[in-house]
Amino acid sequence: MASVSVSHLIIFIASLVVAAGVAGTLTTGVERVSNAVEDGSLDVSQQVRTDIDIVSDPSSPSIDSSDNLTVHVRNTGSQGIFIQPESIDMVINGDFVPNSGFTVTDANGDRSTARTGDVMAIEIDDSYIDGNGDGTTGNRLYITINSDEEVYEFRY
Amino acid sequence: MGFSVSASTAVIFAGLFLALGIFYPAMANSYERVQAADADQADRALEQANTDIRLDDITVTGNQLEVTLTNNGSTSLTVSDTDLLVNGTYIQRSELDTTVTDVDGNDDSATDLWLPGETLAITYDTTETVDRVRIVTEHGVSVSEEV
Repeated sequence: MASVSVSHLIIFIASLVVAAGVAGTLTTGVERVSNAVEDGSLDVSQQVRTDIDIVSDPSSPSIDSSDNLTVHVRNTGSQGIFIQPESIDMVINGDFVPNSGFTVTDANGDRSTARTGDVMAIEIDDSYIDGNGDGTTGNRLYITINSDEEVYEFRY
Repeated sequence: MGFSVSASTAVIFAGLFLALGIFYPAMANSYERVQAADADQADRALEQANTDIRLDDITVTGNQLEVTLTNNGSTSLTVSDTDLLVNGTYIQRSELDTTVTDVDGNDDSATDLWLPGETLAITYDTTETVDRVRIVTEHGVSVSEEV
């Protein structure tokens, strides 16, 4: 009789260990997914809140004496944007502009964050712009900030 | 044998409840966060659609440029958030002088509010010939005109 009790006890302990293992794995997995979903929702909500608009006039682009183009971008969303090249992705005429190819500043002061209604000045190096200044060559600038895309087309 | 099945089932169910307890708040918070951002975006889109400005007049007297605009929409605008571009060049907001004339004809150069129906006059001292003027106000609503 004693051997029956012992074997029952062993099966009981084994079943508890297996059940605890399953429950533990399940909760760990669910917790991991929950954290990822929460992180994802933070990103998505920031992307939805980010909204930009190009202020610059396509008919008369602002190009200085050393042929650098300045584009002004207004934050029209409800999410602040850090005024730094890392916040902005740019493609001009199909070529990606690296962070070293442009500078970005606050157009009305020297703040480091563009809040709603603030304007940033982006100055792009002349080597990325097509044309010789006679106003016949079309250029297409594609700006992406936090998944919000804007297109600026102009002739130079 | 019978008790082992009950006990392990109880442990698995406890685990399921725990997992659901972790999962539900995370999903609810995430959904609400995205929902709030969506509602905000819808509000902004509505305000943008309700915003309209009309360019009344551009005058250049000597080296002073004066642009007169009317808030033709149904949203209140912020004077200090209205930008001027002359010949494509952005003019810093601190260099602009603004006067808002209300519907009764009273001038106010200190106000920051530009309400529907009111007229905004922006003056700027320029040294170059003015060919083209562009005004951009809140939500990116803009008007531009050749002089």
